[in-house]
Amino acid sequence: MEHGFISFVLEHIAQFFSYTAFANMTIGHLVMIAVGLVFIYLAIAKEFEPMLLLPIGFGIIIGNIAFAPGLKIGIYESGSVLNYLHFGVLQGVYPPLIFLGIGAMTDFSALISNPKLVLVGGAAQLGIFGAYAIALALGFTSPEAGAIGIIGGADGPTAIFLSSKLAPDLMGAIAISAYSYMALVPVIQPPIMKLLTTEKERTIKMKPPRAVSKTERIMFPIIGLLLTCLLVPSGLPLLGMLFFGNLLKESTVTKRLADTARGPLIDIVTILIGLTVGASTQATTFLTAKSIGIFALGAISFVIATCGGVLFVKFFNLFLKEGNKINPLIGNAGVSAVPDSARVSEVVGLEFDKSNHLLMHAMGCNVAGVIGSAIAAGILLSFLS
Amino acid sequence: MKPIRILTLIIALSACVAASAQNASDLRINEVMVFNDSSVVDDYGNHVGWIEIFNTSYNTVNLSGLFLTDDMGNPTKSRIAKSPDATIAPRSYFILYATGDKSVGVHHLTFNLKNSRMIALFDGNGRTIIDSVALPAMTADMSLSRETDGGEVWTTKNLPTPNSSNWFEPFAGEVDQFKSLDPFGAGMAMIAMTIVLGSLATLYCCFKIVGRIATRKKKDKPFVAKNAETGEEASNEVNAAIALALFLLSKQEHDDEYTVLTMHKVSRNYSPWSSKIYGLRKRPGGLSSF
Repeated sequence: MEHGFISFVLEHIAQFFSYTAFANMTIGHLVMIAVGLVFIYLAIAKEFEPMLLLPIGFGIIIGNIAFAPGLKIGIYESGSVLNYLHFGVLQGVYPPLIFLGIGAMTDFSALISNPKLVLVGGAAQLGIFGAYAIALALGFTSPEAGAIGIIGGADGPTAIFLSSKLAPDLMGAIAISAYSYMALVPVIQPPIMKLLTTEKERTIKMKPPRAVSKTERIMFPIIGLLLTCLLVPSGLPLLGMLFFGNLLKESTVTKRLADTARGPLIDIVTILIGLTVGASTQATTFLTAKSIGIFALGAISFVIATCGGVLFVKFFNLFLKEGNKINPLIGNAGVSAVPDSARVSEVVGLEFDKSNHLLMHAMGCNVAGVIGSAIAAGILLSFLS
Repeated sequence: MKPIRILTLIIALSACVAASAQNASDLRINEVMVFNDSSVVDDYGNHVGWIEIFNTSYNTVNLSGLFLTDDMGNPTKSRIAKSPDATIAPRSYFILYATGDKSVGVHHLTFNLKNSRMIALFDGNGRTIIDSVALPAMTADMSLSRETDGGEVWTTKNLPTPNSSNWFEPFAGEVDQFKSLDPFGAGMAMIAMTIVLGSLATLYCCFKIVGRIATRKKKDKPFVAKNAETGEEASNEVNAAIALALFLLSKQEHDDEYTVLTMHKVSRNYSPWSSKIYGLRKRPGGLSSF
């Protein structure tokens, strides 16, 4: 009787142990947990994109706590809570909601006062198609290459939206890569900007932006939506929400809605998207040769995008009169890592002329980059889905 | 007697139909993938080898209790668990993932395919073989499949079709055509960049015109100061004084200002110690005479 009881206890302790993470842990899970901890460190200690890296880093840890399958716990197990939350990522629900918030918090005045900056935002999208070409050469399929290329747009929600449509299997790696390089914009961009510009070009002083009337600010989202989405309707989920959010803000009659969109709503969605994207990086699906390739391509796409923006400004300056020229140091801001890349323009500009503030001009390129990358995503979606 | 005979006949026919509805002999191993790198993932997000079973009949078949094995010496190696989900609709498919784990549910087998040379499907008695197939050497993401669903001819292919018909038109889709005609992505880059820059250039032209109209309107309408309360226009002297102040401001020759405009965020941290509720106190009535 006593022997039977002891074996019963031991058997159940052994059974309990088989359900613990220690029994199911692999080296891959440990590696991913270490990656999650690095993300959390970068977010807290270095303040690199903390709003994103912190939820993603913690999500990586959550996703890599090993467990015995079948208990409806994991993000890929249908019926689990995490699986329900992940639905918003898989079906592309969260990114347009984030764009609504971005629209409601973005001031397009810098762009409206100097509309030629919008072209810089377009030129920087070259990074997307450069990475697309290289991914094709490396043997990725066209939809996969398109999803990887969008990392060069430097826009997390857009990257998640497009990869959920074109290559859902690669979405975790693409999202992590996009957010990692966005956080590293202050490290990646300055050397390229300095390499591609002359001393004289770096000290070009641009005209201060003119005051923009309320009517112009209200007209911008309406005209912007019509002009871009009539041409690229597949960009509607992102561009529609972006411009709608901006109209809520600029109309000034829907302050409560605008406040919700740029406040609680975007905060909630950011928490959900960060956590679930992080949790989707389960070691068993994430640690593959493809993921490493995606990381390498992500870095290349950021470099090409920065070069594209800076070189385009230099080319554009050939056709502009003296006094109207653009400082090529704002070309990097064409990638839509808002507002980090604009801050980089300001910091690098001040290195060469303490009185030359480029922030407002760079913000014009920056918000143009958001529009440009959403259009590029729409084009890739219409060709490759 | 006649009605009883008819009734017996009906019951016998119904029993036959019911028996055929559960007839496992209508099942076929339809497609097998041994090394899965990028094909379908199982319920846990893992890429593992899989076996597709096809129901050739026009009745629903229950798979509960059937056996799959990769070892003819051990026909009952992996039993399909009893579950309401273990059914195949008429002419449909059922995927079994060869995870090699014992406790993962109805879609999972207790062996993996990495060292398997053959696959066999056995009836619930563990003796009657329903279907079997020998596995050739296959590379990653290659599958062995019947050319048509349930057909006799087997073939290996690089485009696996889990949970769907094995036969499809040898027609390259638009996306495949895109890659074959534009293998380096140069065409895509040209087309897409033209569209991106074109749409943004349209936006530029539009707001260039809007900006010109807006600035012209401002120029046409001279600035006149107005009294904020009454709305009355200011006198010429007041306008001249404002213009002079603005001129001096632009030349940096203005007086010292006490107000400083800054871009720094003003932080006002809430604390109950600084709250008005605690700062403003009612005057105690009883002490007013003191």
